[in-house]
Amino acid sequence: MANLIDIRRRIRSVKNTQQITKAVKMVAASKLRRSQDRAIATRPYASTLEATLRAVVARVAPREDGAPLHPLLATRVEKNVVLVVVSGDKGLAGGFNTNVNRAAAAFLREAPERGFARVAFVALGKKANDFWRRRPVEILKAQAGLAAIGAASAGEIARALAAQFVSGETDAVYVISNEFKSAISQVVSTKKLLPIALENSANAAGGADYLYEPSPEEILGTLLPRFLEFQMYRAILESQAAFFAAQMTAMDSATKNAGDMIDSLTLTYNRARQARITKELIEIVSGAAALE
Amino acid sequence: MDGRLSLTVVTPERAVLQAVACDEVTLPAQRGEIGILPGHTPLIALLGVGVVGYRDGSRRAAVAVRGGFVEIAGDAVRVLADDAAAPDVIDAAAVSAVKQEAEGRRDRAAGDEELDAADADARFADARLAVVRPG
Repeated sequence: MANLIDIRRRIRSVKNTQQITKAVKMVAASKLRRSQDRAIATRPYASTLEATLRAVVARVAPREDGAPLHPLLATRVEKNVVLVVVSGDKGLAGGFNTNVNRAAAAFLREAPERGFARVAFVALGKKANDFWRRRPVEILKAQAGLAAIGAASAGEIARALAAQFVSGETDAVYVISNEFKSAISQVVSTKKLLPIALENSANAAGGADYLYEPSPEEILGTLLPRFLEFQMYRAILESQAAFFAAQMTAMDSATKNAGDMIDSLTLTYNRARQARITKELIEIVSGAAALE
Repeated sequence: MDGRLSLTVVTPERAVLQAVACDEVTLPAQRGEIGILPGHTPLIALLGVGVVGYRDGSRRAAVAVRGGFVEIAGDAVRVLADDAAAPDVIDAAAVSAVKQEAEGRRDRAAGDEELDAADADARFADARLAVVRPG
């Protein structure tokens, strides 16, 4: 039978852990609310921007030489590839960070098969930074502190990526991040950021035939970079909302597990205590019996 | 179509106006101001930095916008700005400071890019001030 003091000490330590997990869970829940609101706030912008872009692309006459309408739409053989990994800044979120990093590692493994000669990394979020810095990969940019990234700095990252793409230095840009599905479900997804792919459905222009000011070409030239910047911003926001959701779920089950553990330890403790009392009683009774 | 416009102003970060009914909208297009009345032909135009004004009956109001574009379809006027500010969130004193700082940068600017950025900052500050202090 385990020592009573030892069991008491373990109960106390598990209780402390439970307090921490509970506190982290509460914080994550309130931050989830906020980041979810931020992600939702982008929706009206997203839908209008995409619809407009489709209408404009459908309207712009294709070039006669078959060249793409805009450098950002150019598809080339993908040799030099940039991989943007969006992770969280903190742990205590179950498999959240491991999952993105694992997906990125798988991407890297498959690179030769897919004909990528070079894969350069952009690591966003502290955990991706820590993970990839210790590995022999080329890192173009590393940024921690995702919470502070607003639309402006996300745009800056996107602009840098776009400049490299347009200059021909890179042929494609992929993003691996956690997508926010719901408060209990996050899915790691790999998406192609560049070249920009718009489903060019023939009826996209359907309905209104717009006047353009200035020309559709110029509008396309302004909207495409903005679309790219916005995609980047959105991936970061989604990942953040997903992070807090993952953290909340992980900490909730950790709190529950700690509770179960405390229950079972308390049971063991009480049993041990009763066994000791019984043993002492037997000793007293048998001692008295021996004197008779 | 009830013969009234419905004005929406959104930025990537938030919605500033959500389907506000009004009778007239003026927009700072890149090539000069444009006025929109109900029944306008569908239009997509790029916006500069300036003030989006709207009139509901005799009541006038405005928000400051920076860049982006406007889509007009039917009676819906959707402004997708890079940044926008409604009067109730503008702190005049803070914006004045931003303006001075941006103007300072504009005067010292070395390259074109720097100049454009500083100039846009200054004009967006101007637009915000114009919105809180009408007239």
